[in-house]
Amino acid sequence: MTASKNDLHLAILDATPHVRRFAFSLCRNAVDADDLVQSTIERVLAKGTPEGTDMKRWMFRLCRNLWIDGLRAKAVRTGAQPDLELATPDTVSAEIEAGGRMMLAKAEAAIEALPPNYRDVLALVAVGGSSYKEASEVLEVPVGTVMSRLARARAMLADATGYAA
Amino acid sequence: MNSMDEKLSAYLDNMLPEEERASLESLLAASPEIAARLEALALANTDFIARAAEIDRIPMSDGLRIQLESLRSAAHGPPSNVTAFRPRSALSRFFNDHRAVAACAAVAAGFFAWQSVVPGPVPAPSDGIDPGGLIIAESPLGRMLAASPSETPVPLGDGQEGRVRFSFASSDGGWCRLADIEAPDGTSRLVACQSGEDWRMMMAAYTGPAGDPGPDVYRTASAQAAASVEALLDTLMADAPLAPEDEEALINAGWNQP
Repeated sequence: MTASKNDLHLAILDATPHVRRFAFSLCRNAVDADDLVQSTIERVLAKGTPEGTDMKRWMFRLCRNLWIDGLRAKAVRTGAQPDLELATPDTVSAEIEAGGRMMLAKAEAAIEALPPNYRDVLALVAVGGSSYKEASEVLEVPVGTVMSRLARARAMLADATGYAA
Repeated sequence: MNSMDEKLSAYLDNMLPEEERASLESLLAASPEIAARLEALALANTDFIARAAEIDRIPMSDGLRIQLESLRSAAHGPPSNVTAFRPRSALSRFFNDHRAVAACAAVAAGFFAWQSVVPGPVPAPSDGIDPGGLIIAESPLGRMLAASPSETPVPLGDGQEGRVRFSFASSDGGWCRLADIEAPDGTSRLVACQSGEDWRMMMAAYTGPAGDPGPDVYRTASAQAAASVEALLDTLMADAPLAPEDEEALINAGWNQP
């Protein structure tokens, strides 16, 4: 094995726990998350990484793109439209308004119902530790959009869980 | 979009410029409503991080495990049956970046928020906790954390009583303790972890009133915050609580045993 390939494998191994959490925060399902991580690793092994790229950030980007591809494919199969950009906060409150549930169950439901474009930015920054600039590069949106989506995502979770004063 | 939410959210991410940060902290100290909103957003953030970390406890799928073993084998030679899995947790980073602010916005939000969240033995950051979240070793709270065995009531002054519930090893390799504080006006639960020679507040949650506070008394949504303490424990605890004899040995050793 060449030194660079060895380094590539070590970098993947080092990044994988982070990517696994990231994938889990996107999928909310361990089996799907592990499948996503596997696909991400396969993609890195097949295509390599751009020169000077941080492996974790690169894997986050690939993982997120694969996840979006999966959502789109699922939407095509089911005939539903993938709603990646225009989800509204009402989705959350409607989903979890059943009342009487425990706070943790509410939090879980709120996270579950978080629209994809809010979930991925929160996963990148809160779970992945990305800066706003890094997140904007992965998501290909302006930094201002990252900021507003983060705030919206947290507000949706807080309001739906019942933390809001 | 609420621009205050954006500011508070950026504050949680430590992404505000210094001037804006200072200005917001002044506002937090002056406005219980804004402090409560910060607490709500921080709790939501903590929930999200804690949920993501749940996968660390779930065994990997066979496919992923085999794939990683193959990579490891190629990189290191003979295969190992375990993949190293001790990343620096996002939760730890969150807490460190925001000191004791954590999910309850306590210290950074100032004296008022601190009191509302922890109406117990730590009436002000200057009286038991420094502005960086370190618990002052000579304070009653510091002494309790350092030397009191679990389930031993400890008078903390002003009619307050503390009681460590249990001690545990953290996933970062240190030692932590969970304690309840009973005060005339309510009960609080806190988690503190060793930081060098000191103890650092990781989270504090107001878990219940001693009686009806009346309509004019400000209270945060912290009864709900108890759930976040549980979520923190899920993430932070490396193993079961320490047995009494192990805890005693650590107390006697000044918490210096590995």
